[in-house]
Amino acid sequence: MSSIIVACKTIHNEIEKAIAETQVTHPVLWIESGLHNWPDKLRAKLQEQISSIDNVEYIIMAFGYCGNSLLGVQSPNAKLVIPRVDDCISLLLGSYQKRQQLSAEMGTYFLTKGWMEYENNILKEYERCVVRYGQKRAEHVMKLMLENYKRVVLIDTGAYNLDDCLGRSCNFACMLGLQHQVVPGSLELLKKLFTGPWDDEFLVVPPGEALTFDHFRTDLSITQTNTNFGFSS
Amino acid sequence: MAISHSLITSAVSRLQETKALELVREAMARDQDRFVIAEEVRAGLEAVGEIYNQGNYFLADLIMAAEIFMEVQELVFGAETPVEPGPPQIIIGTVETDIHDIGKNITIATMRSCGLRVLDLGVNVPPRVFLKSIQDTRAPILCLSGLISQSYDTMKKTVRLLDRDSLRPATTVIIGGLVNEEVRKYTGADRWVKDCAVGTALCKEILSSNNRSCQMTGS
Repeated sequence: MSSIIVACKTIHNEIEKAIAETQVTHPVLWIESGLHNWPDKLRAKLQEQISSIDNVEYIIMAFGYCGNSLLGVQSPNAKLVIPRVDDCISLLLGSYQKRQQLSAEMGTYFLTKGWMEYENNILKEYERCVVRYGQKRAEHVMKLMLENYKRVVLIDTGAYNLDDCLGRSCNFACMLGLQHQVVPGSLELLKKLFTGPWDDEFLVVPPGEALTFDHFRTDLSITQTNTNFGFSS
Repeated sequence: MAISHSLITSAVSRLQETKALELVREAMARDQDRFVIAEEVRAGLEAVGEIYNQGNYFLADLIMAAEIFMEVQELVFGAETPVEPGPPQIIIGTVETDIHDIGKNITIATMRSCGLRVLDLGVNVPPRVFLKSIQDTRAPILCLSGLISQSYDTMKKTVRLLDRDSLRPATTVIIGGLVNEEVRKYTGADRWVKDCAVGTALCKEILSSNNRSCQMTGS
């Protein structure tokens, strides 16, 4: 069974650790970071890369639903394997359920080292604003942006040195009057994605079949609780 | 006059707050029509939205543009509002499970600048609250905003709840945020928009089309 992993550069620390721990030998095709805010661009990029793969049986997508980014994506030759999560935050917390639980507690802004390094995250946006608009204006804009948030959570995935980003993350939360918390992550879902079994936590889509909204539907009357990400039938 | 106005639009689109406000003050000192000034600023805000869509501005820049816009509104109209008094024409809110409201707030500012009467229900709004608001106000347009995928289910629940009400045929439901045609079909909404200028134009079109129907039926 030949497979390739398609993964977002933003979570490369975690992908590499999960690969090392599972000892899988699948090659990884990295997708550039920074497309998170533009789902249409991310979709186009994913499709372009997937279409160029023709010599494997499975394409393992280390991506979540990511704001409709996966809609319409298809592989002409391989089966697509996709975790049933909303986005990479759930992947790094180990489950969609854990993400829901934390978000239900209070409005939470999640960070990891990868997010602080690669994506146009809130810290980078703040630093850019200070340069462009000055300290006072930048703080005001940030407060408006995070008006409904109560907490910054730094996910300790175990794949990077926490001390590298703890100070920055803490200072930012403090400046905005938000709580700051370090929450342990889990790579178990990522590892299961790489090794299988691909049970109901994953979608396996045949070659030539485009991903639609229906692939992510869940019959909530059967499952009762929404353990996997999906839309009600 | 035209040069001054294009400078205002340009200053707003470049997010030059001080310069934009200075140009607005100068235009007011020259007794220029305040609605024309407001329109020039609105055009600047629209340009900022386009630059954002191209990936060259970021979220904070959108907020900054909205801030400049609101400062100008205050400067030009003061306590007055360009909106005529009356019951709301549009009910808007971020649906339950979601707290993102930047796009919604910018949309509201754009709508109000175009004279539309908008009632903002805030964030994390449950379906029954939307329904009650429609029942209380009989607003012809309901805008449901959501940025996270989980918000689609709440949008769907809200539309279903509204479907059971006799006011549904008279209400146009528009979804906005991270949405597309598939999401619209899933939720049962009537229309979808991703852009505040497009959403405002759509609401104006719906309201004017409703008015024409009312005139034709004599109601």
